[in-house]
Amino acid sequence: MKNRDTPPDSATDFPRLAELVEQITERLVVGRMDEVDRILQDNPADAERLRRILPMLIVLSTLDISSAPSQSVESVPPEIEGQKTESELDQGLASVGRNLTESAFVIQPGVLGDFRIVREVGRGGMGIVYEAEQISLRRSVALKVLPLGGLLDDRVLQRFRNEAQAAAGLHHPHIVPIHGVGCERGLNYIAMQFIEGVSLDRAIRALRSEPNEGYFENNGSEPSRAETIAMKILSTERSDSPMSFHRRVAELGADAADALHHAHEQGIIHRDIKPGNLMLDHRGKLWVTDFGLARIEGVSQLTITGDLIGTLRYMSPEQALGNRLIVDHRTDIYSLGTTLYELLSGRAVFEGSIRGRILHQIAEEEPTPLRQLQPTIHVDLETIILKSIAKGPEDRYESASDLSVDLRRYLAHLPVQARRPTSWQRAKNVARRHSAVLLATSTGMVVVTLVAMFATVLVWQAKRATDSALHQSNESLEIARQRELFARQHLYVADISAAHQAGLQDDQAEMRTLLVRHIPRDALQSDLRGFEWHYLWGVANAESRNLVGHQGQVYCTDFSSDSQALATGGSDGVIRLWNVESGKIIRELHGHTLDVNTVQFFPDGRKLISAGGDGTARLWDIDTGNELHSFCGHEGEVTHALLSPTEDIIATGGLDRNVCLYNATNNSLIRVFTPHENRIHGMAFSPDGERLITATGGGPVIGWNVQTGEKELELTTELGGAIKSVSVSQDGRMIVAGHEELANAGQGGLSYWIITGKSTFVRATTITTVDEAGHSVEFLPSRYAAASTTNSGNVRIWEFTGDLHRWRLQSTFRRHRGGVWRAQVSPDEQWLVSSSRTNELKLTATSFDVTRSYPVCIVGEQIRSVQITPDARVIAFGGSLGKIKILVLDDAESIQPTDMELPFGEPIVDLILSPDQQWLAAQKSTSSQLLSLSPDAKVGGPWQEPDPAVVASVFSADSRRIACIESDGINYTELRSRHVLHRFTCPGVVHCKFSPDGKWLAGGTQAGDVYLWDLTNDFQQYRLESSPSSELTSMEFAHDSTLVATGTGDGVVKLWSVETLQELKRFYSPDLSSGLPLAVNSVAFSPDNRTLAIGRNESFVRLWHIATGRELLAFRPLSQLGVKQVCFSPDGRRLIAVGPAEAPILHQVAIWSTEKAR
Amino acid sequence: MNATRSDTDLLLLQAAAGSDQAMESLFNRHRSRLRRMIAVRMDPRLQMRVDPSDVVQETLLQANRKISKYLLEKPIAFYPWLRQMAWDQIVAMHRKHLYSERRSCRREEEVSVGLSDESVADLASKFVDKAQGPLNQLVRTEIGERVRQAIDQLPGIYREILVLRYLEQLSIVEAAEVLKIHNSAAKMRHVRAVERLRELLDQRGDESAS
Repeated sequence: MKNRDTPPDSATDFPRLAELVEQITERLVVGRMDEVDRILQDNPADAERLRRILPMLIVLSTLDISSAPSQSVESVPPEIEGQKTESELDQGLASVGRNLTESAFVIQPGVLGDFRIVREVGRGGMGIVYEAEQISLRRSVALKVLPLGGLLDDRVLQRFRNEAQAAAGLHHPHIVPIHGVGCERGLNYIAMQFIEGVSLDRAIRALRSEPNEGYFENNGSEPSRAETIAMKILSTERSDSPMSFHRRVAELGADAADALHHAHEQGIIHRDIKPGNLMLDHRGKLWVTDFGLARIEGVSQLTITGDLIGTLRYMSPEQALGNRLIVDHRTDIYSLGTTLYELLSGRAVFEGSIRGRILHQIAEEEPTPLRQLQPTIHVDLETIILKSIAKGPEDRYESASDLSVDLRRYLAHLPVQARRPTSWQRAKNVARRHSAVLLATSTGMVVVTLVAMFATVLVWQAKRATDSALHQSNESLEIARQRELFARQHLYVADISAAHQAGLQDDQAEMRTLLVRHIPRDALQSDLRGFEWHYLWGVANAESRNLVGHQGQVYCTDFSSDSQALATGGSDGVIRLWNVESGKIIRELHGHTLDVNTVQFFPDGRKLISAGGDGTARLWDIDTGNELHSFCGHEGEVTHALLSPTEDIIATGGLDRNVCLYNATNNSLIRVFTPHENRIHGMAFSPDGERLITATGGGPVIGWNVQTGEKELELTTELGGAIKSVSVSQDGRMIVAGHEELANAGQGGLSYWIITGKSTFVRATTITTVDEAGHSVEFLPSRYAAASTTNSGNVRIWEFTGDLHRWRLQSTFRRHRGGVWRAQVSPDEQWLVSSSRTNELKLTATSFDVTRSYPVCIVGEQIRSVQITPDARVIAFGGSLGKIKILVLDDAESIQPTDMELPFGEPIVDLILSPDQQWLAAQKSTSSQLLSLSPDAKVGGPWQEPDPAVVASVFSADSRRIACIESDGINYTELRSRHVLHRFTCPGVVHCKFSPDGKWLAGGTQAGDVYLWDLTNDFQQYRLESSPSSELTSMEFAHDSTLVATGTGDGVVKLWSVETLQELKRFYSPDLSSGLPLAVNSVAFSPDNRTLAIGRNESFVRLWHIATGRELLAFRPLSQLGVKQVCFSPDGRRLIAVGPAEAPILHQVAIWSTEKAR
Repeated sequence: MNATRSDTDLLLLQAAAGSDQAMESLFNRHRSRLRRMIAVRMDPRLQMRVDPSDVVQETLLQANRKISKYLLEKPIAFYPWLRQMAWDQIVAMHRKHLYSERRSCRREEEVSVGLSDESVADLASKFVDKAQGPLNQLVRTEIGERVRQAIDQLPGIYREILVLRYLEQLSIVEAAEVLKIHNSAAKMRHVRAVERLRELLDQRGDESAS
């Protein structure tokens, strides 16, 4: 990128500088000079440049407009014309001067919107807490400012706002009220009531150090009067009488439990109950604060302080350990229990100070009985606390209110409900705990327990409306219910969309969190989930597998061409073959005495070639495990061994800098040459096998003619990092090289070239990436996308956008703890395998959008038409020379192709199968023909005469009638008898459709008008109230025949009520890339009529939520050239889309399934 | 994507569901920002005739009329949308009140309302006050002039980003949206603007020293 105005002297990374300036500006707005200093210290490279502009930033950041221009305005003369005169200038300056002397003109330090920052009162994972004054209301508030607003990603922010808004809905005497959530100058904040008092963690610390009154030492800051009073209340009680102190703690506990119960009833879990989040005000009243904010931390990874350990200490076992177990409200009960325990005993339940130790304690150790620490504690109180902090959620109180009730029973000297665990229970607990640890550590064995929860402000508000309406009439109750439903539906759409995004980022935990709250809580709550939920749920729970078998690191992998088998090799010298489905080892190939550097399957999957550190390349028979041949043409290590795609040549590369080419049929050496002066780092064949691409660390990348041995192509790059790998796209048109990032020099990344001729190429923009490992870059099998690896353990999928200078990061898979050697996507794109320096080898089902995809072609022809039958079992393709191909989909989603040769002899522009699959209507370029496929008649059996008048035909749902479109109308015909039941006159008709119940026939015209004819009532005609916008291109009835959807040439889909003929909804999303009109090719209703799938002339299949009219998500199928047909299976478990792939002769069938077939 | 937007989205949803209250609070939350923007942008001579609050009110009325269309299309985020309408109003008003009479002596393109001279002065005045601490009137005036000239010389696009960020108090994301450029581009433009301003001030200093 060239920037004209970059100062030439500067070597600074400008985007980074800009980012730092943003961070500094954010700090300045709230007056945190100390942190600005820290930023400068942390970034010495940019510090000088930053310091230069810092004074500017300070001034700008504290500008306060409220006192501004209106005052200077009046001093300016009304006419300023032409050149400025001296006097004008003077006056302007005078106005400057006047402003400076005016008392009103005071710049207020640290004003954030309506809030004036008074002082910092604390900081933690959530950011910084300030005491502030809300200027408009003149009230004191606590302002929590989220750290680094500009750096948080959208999902985190969305989440933060949802949770905070939900918590803002809580109204309880013991919950600190949230006044609002907002964003000013890019800083996100929560404003809540300022509690004058002290948090219990400070209280505990102070109580511990009594009688020295040591808490004043805390933070070095003077406690406010309120804090002192609050402290006094507690400490006086404790020193006066231990008994009354215990009772006081029980009271506080009961109040906190009440507050929690209230929140739990609203579906909000606190997740971070700890002494620091319980406040005691100056009247001794208890407040719970920071509801729902805990989960933000985990996502943001921006935890500022070592506060995490402090939080961990109070976490329930399921929260601290559970990777996949879902945490419910009982986690709060546990955390409150530990807090009370600490308050009573003066020490934490688990006192460990390192993470691992605490985790172990939480999982394994029984807490010291309270009365051993404080003998004066009543046995009932001890029992209550022990029950609250039971390891298993099921052993704790059912609800926070149960805990509160029991605490109050203790206070009232009544017998408590809690029972001490029997010795049998303890034994059971130990056993269960071990299994819990097992569960937490071994992924894939965990049964996910689901707990319904939903929480955002919309739902909360709607629920409140429901509640208040209860006291009014039934009518308004119904309205309120509608509103609640409305709100829940919008939440649903938002969450689906977010979950899909999370899926593309491989964040399954986030997906589950977003999805789980839409599981109906009880039978009364309506289930809003549709196809998309079930699909995403499947993705969210797809498993990742560690393949265990290799000793040490794995350097190389290869999938067999059918994606069923995986070969791996590494530092232990053994090649292992795995069953991809089961993750089990099928065979081990022993022979190499040192590292295995590359492995490659032969296309038939029966042989394998490998390159070894022992100086040999070896050919293996997979069936027997025998070594067939050993190639010993190199001195020293063999780094690469490849079979050409045409299977006639084997190429090996070695540390001796030589490449050896062998005849693959007789293993004889053809040629030896030295492609580079330095070591060869990457080797690949072009798909036609005619060219061998080699790459060396410092470049260039060279293409060699395999036959002649001549250099044909020399590719250079501007990226400085050493090239470690190279890959060629399936069509040979693109080459990519991976550059290793060393010492954060900014030189790592990917270089791309587009090959335009024998020795000509265009260099596409390089991608300079952070942290690129470079050791593995591989094109994905079916498209211009490549997988690359990072030094920190990630695998990234890059996608070519079609624009030479734009690449898109499609997915980031966070997979390993250390640098990744190798990442590869299986030919069917269903699996991703990767290996790392940390000895891991992982196989995961990819969470790319498509569950499965199949390429389809008709040999020797171009595919001109596609149709899917309504039962989604049969897909018919019509070819340009009259051949028809039929695919049959079985339950296991495997496809059985049937080629039907039909002597049409001309292009089939449209093809329709009857729903019972007995009839086929083929629309040719000049006429239409109908044929029977019934078993009694042979395929291609009795022909109806070609009818030149008919331009398209449609079958009724029962396959007994057919509607044949002619230029000025539609013939409604009995199929077997060919008896014309009615003729509808409708000039310009281009589309028609029967309703599933057989009552309606809909016809649409080129002009966009749509007519409905009542087939059961004298063929009466109705017209949809449309304003013609564009040519009608597709039409579909909902499954219950109450709705009809129309798609037009301008990309808009409209939804109509059959009953009222009114437009109900409109679905449109603009095309972001091409700007071309995106004709709607196909529309499909899900069987529950909740979701609309839309296929247009773009690469996305879009799902829309009918109730809200909002887009749920956009699936990107493999097809790049538009989506021709979309269809849901009748059971709602599958979505199928068909469209042309990269090449016009090739079509792709993409299937999304709610159940991964494996 | 903008943080304010998601929050606003909730209200928009409710507004779409027919809640007048949501509409009201939606407008309320942006009222002061709009007013701020108008005050910064509107010619002071015009401000003597037209109260910025009236412009705000007119904008919100217009927004109310157009909101359903907006909800359907959602071309841009809500505040930038409001701001755009306010902007159009200001331009129309400038055209009507100020330029019709004096087209002969002002070039037509000046109708495109920029930053008013007074806003420049305002920026300048603040620099002086913040950066210098107590100084006597004379020195202040001199520095004020220097700052003002520096701001005057700042290329338009740089001045614009500073105004958006510091006078209109838009977040960088919103500023990017208003300028129709990418976030990172806005950030970089911001740094360049600040750096250039610094350079200009230095040059001025050199000149006056020599």
